[in-house]
Amino acid sequence: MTSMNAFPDVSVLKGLARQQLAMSLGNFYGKKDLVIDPTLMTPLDRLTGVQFLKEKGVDKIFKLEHKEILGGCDQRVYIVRPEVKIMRQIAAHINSDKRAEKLRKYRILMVPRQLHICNMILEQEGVLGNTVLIEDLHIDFIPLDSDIISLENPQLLNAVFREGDQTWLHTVARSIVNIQAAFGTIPNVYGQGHNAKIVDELVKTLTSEFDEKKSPLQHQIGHLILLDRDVDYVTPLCSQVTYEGLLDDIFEIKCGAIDFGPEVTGTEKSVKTLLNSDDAIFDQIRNRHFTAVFKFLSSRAKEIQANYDKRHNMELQDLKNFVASELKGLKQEHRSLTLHIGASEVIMKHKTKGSLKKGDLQDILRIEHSLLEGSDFRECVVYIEECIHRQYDMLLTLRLLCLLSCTTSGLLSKDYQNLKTQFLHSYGFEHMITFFNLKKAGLLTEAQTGKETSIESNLNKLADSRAVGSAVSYVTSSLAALQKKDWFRTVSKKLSLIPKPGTENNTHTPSDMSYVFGGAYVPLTCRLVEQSLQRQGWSGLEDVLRHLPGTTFEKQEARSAKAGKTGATMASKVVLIYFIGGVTYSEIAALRFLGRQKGYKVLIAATSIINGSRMLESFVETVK
Amino acid sequence: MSETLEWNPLGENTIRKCCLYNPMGWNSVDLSKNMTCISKYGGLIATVQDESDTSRSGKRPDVYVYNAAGREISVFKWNSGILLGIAWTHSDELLCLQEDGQVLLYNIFGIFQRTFTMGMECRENKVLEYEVFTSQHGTGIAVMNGLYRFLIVSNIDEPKVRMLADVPGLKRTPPSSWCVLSGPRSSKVLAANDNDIYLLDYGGQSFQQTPAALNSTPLSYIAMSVSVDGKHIVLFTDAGVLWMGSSDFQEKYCEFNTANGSRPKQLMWCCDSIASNSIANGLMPKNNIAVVIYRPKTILVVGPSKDWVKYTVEEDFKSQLGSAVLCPDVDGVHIVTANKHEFLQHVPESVQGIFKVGSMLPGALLNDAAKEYSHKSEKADEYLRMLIEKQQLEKAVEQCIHAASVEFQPRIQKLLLQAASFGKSFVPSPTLTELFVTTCQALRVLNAVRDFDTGVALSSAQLKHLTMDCLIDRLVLRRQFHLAYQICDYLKIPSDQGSSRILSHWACYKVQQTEVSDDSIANAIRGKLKSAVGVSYASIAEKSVECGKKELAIKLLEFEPRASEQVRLLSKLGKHTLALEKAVLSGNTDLTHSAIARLRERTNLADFLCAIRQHPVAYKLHLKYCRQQNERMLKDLHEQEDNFIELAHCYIHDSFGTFRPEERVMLLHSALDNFSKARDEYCTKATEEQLQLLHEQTNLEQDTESSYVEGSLHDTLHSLLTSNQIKKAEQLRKQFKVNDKRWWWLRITALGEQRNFAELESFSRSKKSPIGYIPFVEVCMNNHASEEVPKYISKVTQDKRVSALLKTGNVKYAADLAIQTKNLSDLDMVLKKCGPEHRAIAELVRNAMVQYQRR
Repeated sequence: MTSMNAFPDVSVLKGLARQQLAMSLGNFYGKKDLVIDPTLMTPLDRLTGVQFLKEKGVDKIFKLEHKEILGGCDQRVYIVRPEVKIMRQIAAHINSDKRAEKLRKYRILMVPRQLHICNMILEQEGVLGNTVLIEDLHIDFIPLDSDIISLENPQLLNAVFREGDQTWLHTVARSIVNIQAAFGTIPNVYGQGHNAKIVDELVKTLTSEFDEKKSPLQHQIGHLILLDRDVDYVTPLCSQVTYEGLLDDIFEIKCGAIDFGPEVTGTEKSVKTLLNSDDAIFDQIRNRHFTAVFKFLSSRAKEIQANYDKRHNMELQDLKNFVASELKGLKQEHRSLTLHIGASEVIMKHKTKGSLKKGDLQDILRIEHSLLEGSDFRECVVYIEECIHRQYDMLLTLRLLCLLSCTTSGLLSKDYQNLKTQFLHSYGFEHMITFFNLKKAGLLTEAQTGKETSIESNLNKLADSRAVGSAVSYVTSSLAALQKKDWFRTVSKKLSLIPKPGTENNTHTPSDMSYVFGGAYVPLTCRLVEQSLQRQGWSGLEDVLRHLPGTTFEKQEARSAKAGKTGATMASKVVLIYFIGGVTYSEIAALRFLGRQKGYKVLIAATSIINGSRMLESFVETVK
Repeated sequence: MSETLEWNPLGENTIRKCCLYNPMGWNSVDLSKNMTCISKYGGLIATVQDESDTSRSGKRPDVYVYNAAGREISVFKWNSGILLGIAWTHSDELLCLQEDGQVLLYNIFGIFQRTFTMGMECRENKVLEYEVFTSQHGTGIAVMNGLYRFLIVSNIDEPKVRMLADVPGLKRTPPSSWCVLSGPRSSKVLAANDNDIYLLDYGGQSFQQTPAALNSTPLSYIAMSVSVDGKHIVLFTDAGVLWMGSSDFQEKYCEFNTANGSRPKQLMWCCDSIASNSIANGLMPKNNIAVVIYRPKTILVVGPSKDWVKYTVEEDFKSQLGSAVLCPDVDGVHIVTANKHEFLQHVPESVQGIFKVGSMLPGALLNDAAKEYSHKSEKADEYLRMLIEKQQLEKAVEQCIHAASVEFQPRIQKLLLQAASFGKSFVPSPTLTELFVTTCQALRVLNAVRDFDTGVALSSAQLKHLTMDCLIDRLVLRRQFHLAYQICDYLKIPSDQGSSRILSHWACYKVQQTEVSDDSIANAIRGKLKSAVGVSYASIAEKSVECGKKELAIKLLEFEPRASEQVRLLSKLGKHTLALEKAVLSGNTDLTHSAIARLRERTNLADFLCAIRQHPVAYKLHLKYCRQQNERMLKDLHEQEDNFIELAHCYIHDSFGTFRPEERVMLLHSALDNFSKARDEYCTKATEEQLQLLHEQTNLEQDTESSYVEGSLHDTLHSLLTSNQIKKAEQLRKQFKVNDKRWWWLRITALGEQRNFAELESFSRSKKSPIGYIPFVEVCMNNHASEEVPKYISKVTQDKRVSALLKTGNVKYAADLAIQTKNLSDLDMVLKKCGPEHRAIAELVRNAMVQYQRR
């Protein structure tokens, strides 16, 4: 990787989060048990360790579940997300303690802040009292790597993009305010999307509310790019083919860590390992196209072997040095190499063999590429039908369906109804609601024959935007979007997202961001980032942006004489890209590539790390 | 020299009477007939005609409050009970004690603040004497009631009355004298019963105290006083003898005979308690203390080494009465007469060192050098050289700066600062520069507040002790907003502690004005506060609500940047719709939620819906809340909005929440109704279909006892086929118009799973497969029947054959076939399927590809 000097050190954020936790636990004197929201387990694990918690007086650690925890000491701390369901569970715990006449003191720490609705529920359940204390635990960003920070809040996607609940946008704005407090006020802000605009407004309000004048710090980050996920649903809907993307698709990466099962380790045990740039081997392969991974791993394996072999013809003194200095590093590399080779083999198996429920990856990739290119529409529909008829994994089928809808800007009524009927017949009628949800989120829509729903929803959005005071631009952009029916095609042409068939893209030594999808497609978000950095704003892109959903905005600080300072010029090459609604590893890989290519230092922030399945999962109706 | 004009030697030390204000700003005040008190740290003067003459005749006296320069700040009519005494508290409130033990507190503008009582016993037996004192806990008060009992409140902010022990051996006469001894933990009373002195505490105990080494044998002690810092005590005997000593009676400083046995009008200490407190353990030189005895027309100052100075109180030219009021402050004594306000203090060391005749201290030399320099005399150089040689220049500059800071007259201040500045240019020292600058700043502030109009008589030591922030607070309390603002500005105090804070105080005062219209007040406030950061408009608005100006409050809230405050107050004012609007604008959904909740509580449903519909963000939030909390309400909302599609989906959602078939059917019917209301044909049909399916599934369950209801149509058909109920399956196929492709998939998968390969083969011959023959290959492979595969391979069309072979996992054959047919895309497909174990094949294929590509 490029040198990291003057790059904002995001581990500062980890320190801040730890401090918050230490303070909250420290305020509650004495021994206490910890009950943790399952969704917060991994994030908390990233921030702290058992040792840290023990030092703060934590005795036992439980996972929050339906069933009551009767044991434990007389003080208990809940660390939870502010959700209704969880509040009910906590209330049930407390009430059952009351019935068992077990006297305890409780503290409920809500991450990142308590919500009125939660307090209301606890009140209704009759558990609020002087033994129950509610506090905020302001943890927002969790640094997953030196260049990725995430709120690890997957609920946001559903809440914001389907329900129109802006609660979490406040958190997003807060996180930006905190970033600016740590690394200085970011002078240039570009954004695209309805929610991005709201966040930008909120950042302004919050800054004036907190009365923080411009941060006195010399800014370390020159640009902030805010993007709504619904600007580009297409990218996360595509199968990933970079190494890290495949790991996420196949094994699922949780909060920057992965659990390799026996099939990878080749032993009985499964191994949990952190995936970040500290792992030298992983750092080399994470962003590569999968086909380029094996070659690297095997050459690396040979090198390590050679290094090991060195010791055979060594003098005693040299051997001593070798053991003292190199051996440990070699062993570590060896360990990580073994794991990644194991993982690659599993991935390979997935790729070549296919599976009963997941179909053939090659076929799927082919269909995806046709969809992206906009060719062979019928063949794609037929293939998707086949997936439905064969009851392939539902999320897979749904993913292709959504991709079909997104790339064609809504399905024709006939196709939509046919596919929906087939889908319901295969996977059950309850998915009426799934379709309804996906329609609201704009992922799977019926192309309008000029009436009803879309106008209604647009009017709804219009009304929202009125509240934010950007009605005019919204009207124009939404009208434009209505006019241009096939917007994905238009945009992809204008931004040349689909490389021309003739251009050979070597996946081993890529020359273009499209390598992350095997040379078939440049992620739209990444192209937008590239363009905005190149143009230092959106000017000249209006023609493209008016096809995209949501509002476009930009804010630039007048270039003062000060900008001549070295610090400022360094910062002007540092860019923070914030994905509201999540980012995929493919996009991360593409952006890293972009950074290397254009000499930018890229820092990626997201509300969560997503892939196609996780994104869709949040919209799928699960029957109770 | 004029600098030493008011100096009087007192033992080794010197004492001076600095004139602060002359003449006073008032017209004529007869101090002899008034009760007067002077505040510490600033010298506020309050005076009221002594009640003993007037109130009994029914006339209510006026209470006057003046600043230190005698400018009237306020005057108010006393209209409560009989006033026994007044005193200033540590926070510049005027404490008024009534004869019945009621204590009333007023601010300097005569506005009543609060009250408390010294208890029943005082009410019944009246208060005879009192003393107000300052301790670490704040201002306290001790009273002696008609039963000669002492009651004490050690902090008037938390008035807890405690009774002290009785004075032992007291007969029908009151104690001959008493005073409060305030200690670090608790305050006690020292009382003399003739010649016995007792220390009374509130544990009910009394301890007799014997003055150490007492030479005279007094009959009784008729007066006593403890110094402000509580370290020294003076006893005054009936024979006119003073005994000065430590307040624990263990050490005697001296005995001094004043030769006047009458009770002095006032007896107090003049000492620098700030300095003494900063020296640990009280081991300080005794030369900075003195006792001041006031009798009409004379003030007698006695030092601890029996030296004394006597001042005559000048006669007032009008009343011809030489009446003065003395009041000890922390570093001296205020002396107020009808036309003068003076300050008695020990001359600070640095000043003495410079101005004392013949002094050769560095400061004095530097002062002389500066003077000579201004006269253009070469002696300047001589003096300066002397200082430099002895390396005393720094010391000299320091002395001059310090001396300037403790001087009251700007003229002398300037003189000394000029000397310091002159010396400073020869010693480059950042610490001295810093000291010089801060001293200049402090002096500038002090001179500004000492001005006649402001009249805060503050010494530099007092300012240091009080702190600048506190001084600014006091100015704000005195409504000297402009001056306070200027000071903050001048000292560059951060705006949140400084200018903004003062502006908000000003605004809070401004909203109380009744004669000006709301609009102009709001505009005036906005105009002044626009550029200020961190002003809480909410607290100003709150103040205006307190004054009963709701409209003004709402206007002010418009400017409040913190939405939470805005919303909270607006709700408090009953402006729920406006609150909701602001909450939505803030983007903080939490606020929106609470605003919605309050709106819901306070308005009827129709108004509520009307209000919330205007805010889509709030509306969506409410919908979400209902979805989680109150599904009934959710449906009502959708019904209100005629949102049938949403409503239908709610019912579908509910239908999957129940396991009872009848209920599920009922709910699906409701969904159906709504879909048809919404004229959504497709959904109507789908729901109808689902109802039919449910019906069929229920019947099946009754017949076969296996579970069908939770499954989809596909699942149902599949389990029918695998359990060989092909007829039933065929029937459902027709009923639900299952298309051919699905049917074929279902059939062959089921047959494969049953491993009924004979039937599979015959099915494959039944008619031309709508899904091609690759699926047959796959089914065989999936069910581990590779021997069946060749039967179908031949049926696969030529162009699909390679991929079919690949599906069987037979990479070798596929490769061969692809090479044969010379089909590039097939070759590519084979290559992609080559795993690590197919290295040789891959090589072959690659070679072939290269070959064909060349052509």
